[in-house]
Amino acid sequence: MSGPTPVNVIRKDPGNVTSLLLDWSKGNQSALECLVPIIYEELLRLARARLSRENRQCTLQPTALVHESYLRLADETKLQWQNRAHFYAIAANTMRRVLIDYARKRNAEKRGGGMIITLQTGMDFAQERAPDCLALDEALKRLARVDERKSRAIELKYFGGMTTEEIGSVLGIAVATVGRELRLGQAWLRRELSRAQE
Amino acid sequence: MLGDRWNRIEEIFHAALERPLPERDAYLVHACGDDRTLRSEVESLLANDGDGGATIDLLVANDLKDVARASSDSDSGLQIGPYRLVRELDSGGMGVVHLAVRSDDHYFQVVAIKTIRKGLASPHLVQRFRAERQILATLTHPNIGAILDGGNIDDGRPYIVMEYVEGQPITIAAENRSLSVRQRIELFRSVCSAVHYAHQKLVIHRDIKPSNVLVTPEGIVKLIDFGVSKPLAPELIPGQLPRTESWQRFMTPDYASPEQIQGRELTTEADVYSLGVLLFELLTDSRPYTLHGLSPAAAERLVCEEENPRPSTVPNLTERIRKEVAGDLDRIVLMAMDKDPSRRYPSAQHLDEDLLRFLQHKPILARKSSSLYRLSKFVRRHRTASMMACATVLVLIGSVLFHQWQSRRSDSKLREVESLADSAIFDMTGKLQASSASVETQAAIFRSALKYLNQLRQSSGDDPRVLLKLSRAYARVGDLEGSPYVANLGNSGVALTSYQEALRMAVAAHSRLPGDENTQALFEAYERLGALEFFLGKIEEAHDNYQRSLSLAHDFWKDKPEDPTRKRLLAMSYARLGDLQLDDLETDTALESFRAAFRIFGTESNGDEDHDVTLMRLYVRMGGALMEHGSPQEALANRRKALAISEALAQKSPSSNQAQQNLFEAYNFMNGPLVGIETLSVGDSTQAEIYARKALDIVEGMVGRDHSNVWARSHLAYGYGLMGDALRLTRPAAASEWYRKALLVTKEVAPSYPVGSYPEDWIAEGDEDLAASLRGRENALERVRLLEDANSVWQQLVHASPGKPQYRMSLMRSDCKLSDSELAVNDLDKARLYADSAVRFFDDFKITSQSLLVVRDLGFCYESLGNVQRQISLSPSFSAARRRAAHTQALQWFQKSAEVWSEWKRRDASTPESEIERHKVERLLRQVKSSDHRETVSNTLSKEQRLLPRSN
Repeated sequence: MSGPTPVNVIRKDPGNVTSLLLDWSKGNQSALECLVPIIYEELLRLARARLSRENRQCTLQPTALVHESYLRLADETKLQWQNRAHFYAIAANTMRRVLIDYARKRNAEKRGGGMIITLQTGMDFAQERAPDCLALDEALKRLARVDERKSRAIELKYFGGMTTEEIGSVLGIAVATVGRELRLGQAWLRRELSRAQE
Repeated sequence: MLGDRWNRIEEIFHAALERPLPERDAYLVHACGDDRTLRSEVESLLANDGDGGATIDLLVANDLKDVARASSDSDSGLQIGPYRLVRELDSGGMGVVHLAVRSDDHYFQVVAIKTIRKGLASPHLVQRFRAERQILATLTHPNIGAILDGGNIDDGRPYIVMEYVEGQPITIAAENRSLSVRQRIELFRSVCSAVHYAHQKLVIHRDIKPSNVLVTPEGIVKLIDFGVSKPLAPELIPGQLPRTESWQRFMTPDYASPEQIQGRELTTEADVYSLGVLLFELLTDSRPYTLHGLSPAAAERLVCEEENPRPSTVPNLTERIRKEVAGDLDRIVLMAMDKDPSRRYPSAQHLDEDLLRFLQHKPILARKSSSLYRLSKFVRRHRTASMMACATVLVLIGSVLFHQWQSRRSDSKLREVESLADSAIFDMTGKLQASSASVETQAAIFRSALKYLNQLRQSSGDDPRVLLKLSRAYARVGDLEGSPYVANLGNSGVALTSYQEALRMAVAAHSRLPGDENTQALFEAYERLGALEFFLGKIEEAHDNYQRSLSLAHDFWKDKPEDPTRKRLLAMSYARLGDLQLDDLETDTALESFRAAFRIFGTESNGDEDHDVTLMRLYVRMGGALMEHGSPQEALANRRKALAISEALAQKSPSSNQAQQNLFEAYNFMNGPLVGIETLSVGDSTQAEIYARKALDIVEGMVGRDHSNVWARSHLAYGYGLMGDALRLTRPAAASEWYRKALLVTKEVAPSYPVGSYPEDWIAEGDEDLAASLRGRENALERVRLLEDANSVWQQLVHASPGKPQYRMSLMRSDCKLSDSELAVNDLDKARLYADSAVRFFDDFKITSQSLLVVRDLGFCYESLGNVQRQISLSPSFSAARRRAAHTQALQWFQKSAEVWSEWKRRDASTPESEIERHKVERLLRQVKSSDHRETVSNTLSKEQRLLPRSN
């Protein structure tokens, strides 16, 4: 169909994400806002693609998705390793959002917020009791109030799949410190999650 | 926890981990000392150390899998053509809007894509979606979110690609930009212009609310989300009981008009209402009312009955705004929000214009609001649940049945119309203009109505009252779908279903409770079904149903033979059967039926309007049948009786519109036997002219008094036609002027018709009348053109209703007329083509037919064929042998034609016109017999000049 001039058209060049990243590293905060939806979409798409390709029984690694999305979206030749680290940081956070968004929606449906109330089977009940990303998200938020750095380190590792070096570079700490941050953070979270279950 | 404490915990934690396991406890005791809490804190943390974060890993991975799987259940991530769905933007009841991205080598484009929710894509919904997509694609307006593309997903679901409008709802935008009252009105006016544009394209938005009226960052207003897949009434999901507030999810009730709430027919005025509410909110930052949390009944009461507050009376308005709004703006808003749709602005443009007047400080149109909001005819209280559901079901989009007085041509149309008119929705007010949407949308909507009915039936059980209502509802739906003027839509199949259902319901209701009402309903159900079946060419079935209705009526009457209602029912039953028989060209049988009707009903008027109108129509019928039978004088006598009755009624109530209309009818029906029906009339042009003028006076008077009287305007065409008929024999040139006027008016009125019910056959007949009245060489080409136009209409109609003999006859005759006119312009080849085309039908019709209409047309057709063969025999471009053969054939055809006209004599049915025809053909016969086939072409006068009566 021929229609009016296409709207919302951003001329895409391979360096779009790249340039955004570069922009952001120069201090342009709004570049971040532009990046997030692109990454969001990419992560979802990759997750879906992965799921259909692989055996449905095996687990999907979010880190793998983040890696892949990076490869697809950014032009490595133009970026420094610091930019890459930033990408991962954003991607990690975005990944977290993707999961939270979904979990919220899913929970809303289960509690009868929607029109259709399905009878809960025993299995559903069991699932509801198991901690999910929402619980993790809550726990992470609580951790952040206590110790923000640890919370970020966890996020970068588990949602972003970053290495300890990368985490160190993003957070500005030594590798050994990263290790210690993670260890305590993990323990704290695990405790929180098991407490929430009681 | 305090920072210090946390640091402590951290320190101890890590230190403890550095010690080998057996030593940890000791260390802890040492490090924590007396602080029990500190110790248990660290211990619990240590206890949770050790799995290397596997718990978290697993948790995230599981959730991710869910996300991925869910994404494939929802459509997010789905690739549709070049677009990839990213996330949901909005979800209505059945449709979902996704944000989508098109990312290829050249563009990165963001759009909005609307599809039907996975799992809800029933075939009818799909069709409806597609149909609306078609219409929406035609909307090109700077203030309407554009449709960019469309197509089907692999699984067959259709989708629409729309401009992704980034913007804020108009109310919020106005706030954020601190717009003044005047500025807000200007903004609002763009909305009106967009809505009006859509209305002119016959699209109703149905869901105008702030979130559908966005303002882009550049300050442009965009109206989005037109009625695609929007349910027209609160939607019931199969298998579910409606929850109290669930209905509110599918409409935005705060903006819905009273008729939307009640599930009544929707017109463009519904949008005007919503515009009014929007304007209210735009001016005052609050809504006139809110329905959140109310039950459907309470909401209906609030919207349909409670008086609307004036915008200036909203609390918390600044003094300056209150002053600006009070007075004229108040009135404008209230007029737009009038509970009675006919009292609102008739169009969005009117609203726009009144706002402009306000801005220009000119006087506005809106009336001073009346403080009386009593029950208007559109508001009803005390609806029971089942009735409310029925009302919900009767979603009729401004459909109209037009009362066609075709009797000038063939009286059969009267009966067709009457049976529909008695039960039909006849409402030709300004709403005609608002008849919405395309053919396919109407069809889709009918199917939707049926679906609701079916659901309703499942939950309604055995209650005969409900069954009765349902029967009526089905019948009403069927009426619209199946009326011949709507049936071009191809809805007849659906209409049939509706009527069959109506019948089933009526039978059920009747068997449980065989009372008067149910019997009548059953009776009507048979009739409707029968009428449609006949129209569709299912003659057998039609007959059966009429017979059943007749015996039902008969038994009903026998039970109480003096009861006037029962008498009427039986008489009408006979009458309708007679109509059917007449339509089927069984004239004599029809006469019998009509006589039976008279026997039951009586032959004398008694002053009661209903009774007398019925009687009048019986006489009219009788007259028609007698004409076809070949007794024009008797026919005339019957029609005079009908006239006398209507004149008496008109005298009793001289100012009644209905009486005037009946009178017009009667004058109209005088025309046929006097001069209107070719060769079947007595040929009294003088009297015909008198009655024609009387009829014309009535309608012209009506139009003069009230220009918006649509009945009058459309019947004006008939009036002109009557004048044309009256003059066709004596002054054809003057007649052609009247015919031209008639055609003009019909075409003017035609846009008011719902799409698909354009009166094509009337126009075709009008074309043919005009053609017949145009004599002389100079008009030859126009004649041909008119006849060709008519011909294609007949072809369409034959195709659409193959079972109906009339259309075939008309086509046959049309082919012959064309053949003659082509001969007149010396195009023998074309003439032969048409002649051959006509021959196909000859076997369908017999000279022994009961109906003289058939015999007549055969007579003319044989003559035309004879003319063609004769022309061949005289044309030097054919071989001698060929010409000899043609000569013989010409003789045969003329002979047959002569036989036809003699048949008239034999039946004692001669009229002046038929005698003229007979003489003409006999002369032709003599000429051909005596002529030498070597006669040259130039000696042959054109048929026109020789055969037709001399005229100017």
